[in-house]
Amino acid sequence: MIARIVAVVLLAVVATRADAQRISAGAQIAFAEYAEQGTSLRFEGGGPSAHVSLGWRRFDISFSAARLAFVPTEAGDVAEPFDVTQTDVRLRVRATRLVSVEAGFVDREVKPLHAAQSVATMRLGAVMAIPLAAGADVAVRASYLAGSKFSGGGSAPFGVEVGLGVSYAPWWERVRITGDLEFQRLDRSIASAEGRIPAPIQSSTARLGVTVTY
Amino acid sequence: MTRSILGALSLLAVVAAPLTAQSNATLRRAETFYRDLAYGQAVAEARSALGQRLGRSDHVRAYEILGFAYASLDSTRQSTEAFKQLLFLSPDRELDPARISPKITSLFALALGQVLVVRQLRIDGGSFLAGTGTVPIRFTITRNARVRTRIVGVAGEAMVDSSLGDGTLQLRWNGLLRNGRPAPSGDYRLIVEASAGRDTYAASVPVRVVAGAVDTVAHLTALPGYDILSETEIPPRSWRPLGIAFLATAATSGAIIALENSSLRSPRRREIATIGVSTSVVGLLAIRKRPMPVPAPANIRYNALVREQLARRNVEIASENARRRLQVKLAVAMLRTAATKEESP
Repeated sequence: MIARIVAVVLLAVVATRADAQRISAGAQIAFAEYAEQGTSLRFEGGGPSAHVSLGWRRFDISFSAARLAFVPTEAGDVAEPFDVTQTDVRLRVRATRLVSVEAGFVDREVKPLHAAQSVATMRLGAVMAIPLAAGADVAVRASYLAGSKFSGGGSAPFGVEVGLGVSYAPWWERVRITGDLEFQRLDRSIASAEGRIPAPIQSSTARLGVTVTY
Repeated sequence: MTRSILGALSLLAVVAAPLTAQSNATLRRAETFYRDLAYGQAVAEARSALGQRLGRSDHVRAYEILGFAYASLDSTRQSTEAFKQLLFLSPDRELDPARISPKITSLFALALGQVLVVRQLRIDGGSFLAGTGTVPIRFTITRNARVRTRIVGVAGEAMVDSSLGDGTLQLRWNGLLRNGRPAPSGDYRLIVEASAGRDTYAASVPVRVVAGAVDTVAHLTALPGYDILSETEIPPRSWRPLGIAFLATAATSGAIIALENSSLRSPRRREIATIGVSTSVVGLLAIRKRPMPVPAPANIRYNALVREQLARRNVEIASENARRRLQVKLAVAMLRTAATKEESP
């Protein structure tokens, strides 16, 4: 469904592309670590990922989706494999030549539901993109994750995301090899008779792929 | 004998061509008598011709024959009077002292000093801005007199000058009429009126004025000699990309390690390692690539100054053009050069 929407939007924008517009789309291989509530719930996984972004003047909006299959890193009865469908939406506004502010939304759906926490959260942060050379740049980003909702209940008053992105055009400026790291920490806690019990969630996702810019 | 031959030669030299155009038979006889050195009969025939209905050129010729014949007869007063009449009719008339007897030319000069006429009236053709430029007017007054110079036409008139003067006078007309407005296109007359005591004389020449719009100045798109420079420049290759890549990797890795939940700490950190190494490799590769253009502050400042100057110059041009659109360019030309006698004493 998301792919269809992205395709339709991409086609519509491409058909009327103005000089100030930028369109890019890419596909990546993602691999990730996921941990919950201590060392017993630790997972590793990977899967395909894709993204599309539209830029107009100082604005950029990007959609990305990944489907990752996780397996427990240690054998045991507590943890079982699960699949994650993660959707990200980011809206960026360039504030200075190097720095943009961004707001967005993350939705991580877990299947089966009881295997891990499904999360939906808002992000608000900044990105610093530094050109290294023609066709090469690096970007560092940090966001605060707010208003998190979990399938197992509870809340996370503190959530943070740190990222590192790099892109390199070995042959043509429009075709770039990309790498992206995304670290998330959500200090989730759940209410119980003894008070609030910490149930933190932490994940690291790396993506390597190719992006084509038009 | 010598005197007679000289007089005849003089007359032939100066008036041969006009005399052949004479249509009056009496005048032709007068000329024949003069050539035959029969000055008395020449005078009689010329006077007889003057009693007849003559055209302007015949009138001039009759007085000329009289002046020359009387001079040949040593009748100074009568010769002078004839020349005076000749000058009233044809004030621009000149006698060539190299070819005509000094006795005749001296009598002609004597007559010239006794009459009041306006000679050699000219207006130099040309184009100029009404109210700003001028067109020269030149003429000669034979005696000291009050001289009024006017431009008169259907659209109005202008007083060019009113003053005392004699000899050659040079005046200028600024193209404005008496109402202060530029003269519209049309035919005008340049009139010079001279008065000295009871003597008055007026001469005029027709003048054509063509009024038109003043050319405007084109706006500038560039200042001559000042080209807009590139506002970016390519810096020389350096290790800076690798340094930035290392710095970004270190900052992100440090932040992640610092922010990791102590109870969920990852033992492997393969994601950080993978992307960190990738970033460093890109930094290394970027050293070999063409550096990104960076802003050139000096060129940016220079361009700003050039654009500012350009804008200022264009504002001045716009102001100049607004002024020019209110101006009128006049082209003035004299239609013919012969002065016309208006009045005689």
